[in-house]
Amino acid sequence: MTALLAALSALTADVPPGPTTVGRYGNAAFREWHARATTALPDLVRAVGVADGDVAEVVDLLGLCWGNTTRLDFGSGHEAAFLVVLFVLSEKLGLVPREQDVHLPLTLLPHYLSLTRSLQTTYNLEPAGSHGVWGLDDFAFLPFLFGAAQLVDTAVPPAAVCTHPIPVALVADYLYFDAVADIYRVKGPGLSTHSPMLYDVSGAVGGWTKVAGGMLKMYRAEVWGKRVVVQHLGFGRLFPWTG
Amino acid sequence: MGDYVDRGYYSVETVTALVCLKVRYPHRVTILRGNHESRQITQVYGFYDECLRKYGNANVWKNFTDMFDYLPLTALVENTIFCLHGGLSPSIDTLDQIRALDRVQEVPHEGPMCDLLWSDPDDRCGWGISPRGAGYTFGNDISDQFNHTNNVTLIARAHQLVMEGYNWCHDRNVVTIFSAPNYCYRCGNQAAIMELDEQRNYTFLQFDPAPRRGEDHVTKKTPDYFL
Repeated sequence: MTALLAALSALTADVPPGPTTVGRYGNAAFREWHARATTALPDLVRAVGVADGDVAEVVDLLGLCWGNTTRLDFGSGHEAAFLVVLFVLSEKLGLVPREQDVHLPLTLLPHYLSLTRSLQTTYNLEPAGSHGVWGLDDFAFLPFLFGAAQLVDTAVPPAAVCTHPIPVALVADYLYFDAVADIYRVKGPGLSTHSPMLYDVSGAVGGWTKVAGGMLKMYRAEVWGKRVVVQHLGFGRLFPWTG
Repeated sequence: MGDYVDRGYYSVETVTALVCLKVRYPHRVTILRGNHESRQITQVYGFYDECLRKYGNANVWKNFTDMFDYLPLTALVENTIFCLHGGLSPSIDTLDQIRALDRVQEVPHEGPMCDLLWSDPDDRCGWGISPRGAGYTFGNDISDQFNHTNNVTLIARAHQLVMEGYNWCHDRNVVTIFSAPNYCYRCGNQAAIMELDEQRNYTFLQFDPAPRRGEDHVTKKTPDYFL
């Protein structure tokens, strides 16, 4: 899967953004990237070990993970689609050894986040259905969800997110701090203004345990509980709609 | 020209300042409605969350969104410049049809009132399906016909991010004016306003974001999910 994500990352170099067009903020070259990725995916998916009969469905599910080609936007629904792919690969197709699946957020997810961040900046994708500063982040939820869990029982306090810039060692070791550093990189200092939710969360009484629990509750309610978000997910034999 | 709320940190302050100006100078200020001046949209794009965070309940959001129903949809400057938030509608050919609209209501999902607040100009001629899921795209031919029919020279509208803050299109039948600099704290765009003198000569004033305030001294208020 890291090879698959690396191949898709390499594609961005082959499809440079075109001149900006009036109208949408997003760059129309994203459509070309998406089309090329879709063409490349069947072979890449076979290389992951997916059986021939399942390739088409996994390719379709993967096609939903990079952003919307009509609106040229990206949101937590696209990220959720990647979780569905991981679920299918591990639970349905048994391609991830049981004891290894818990490591996926730290082994595989960073590669996905790096690719999607690169797509967001290269093609100026718009934040889809964004709550603006009142959401957690313009694009991502998973690095905060899994990242908070990673920090439970560490000595780093949640309030460390308010330090600009985030110390390099924290960025390298922790998903959560890597994600906050990415926000600082784009938006500069002033977390309480451009990211008041993350600022407020950093004061949670009960430390990372409370933050991790809150992230899970929020993720369920604000992403999986919202029809406007999950309406774009793909359902089929491997990931059936059960009503 | 609309969209005073949503996405940013200071929606409540922005719309409050505008309403204060309207109260103080009722005949010198006109506040048009944007597609975000709506109950439904503000619940998705931040204004609702902002009011809840700043006031602890939704009363301020309720009062503002009730007020939004009364905002006019369009304005005419010196009978020559037609101002509105989004763009044209296939259901509307004349200004009188706009005057006849029953506009004191929540922005509907479709129809002429919705289109005026949601449509965008496009390079393609005629009417097109909007990628936004509301309103339409309209070509130069449509703008040309509308301006001719209604004896106006320009459609001034907002609704879309433009990097220089303003952007001409449709052979100068349409201008887009966007006055939020560095949109969403990430887009790096300039903002602009259009100034018109007594002879109807226009000048665009471009501006960058105000300097950021210093250190964070805001009291943290833990969101419900994290209590």
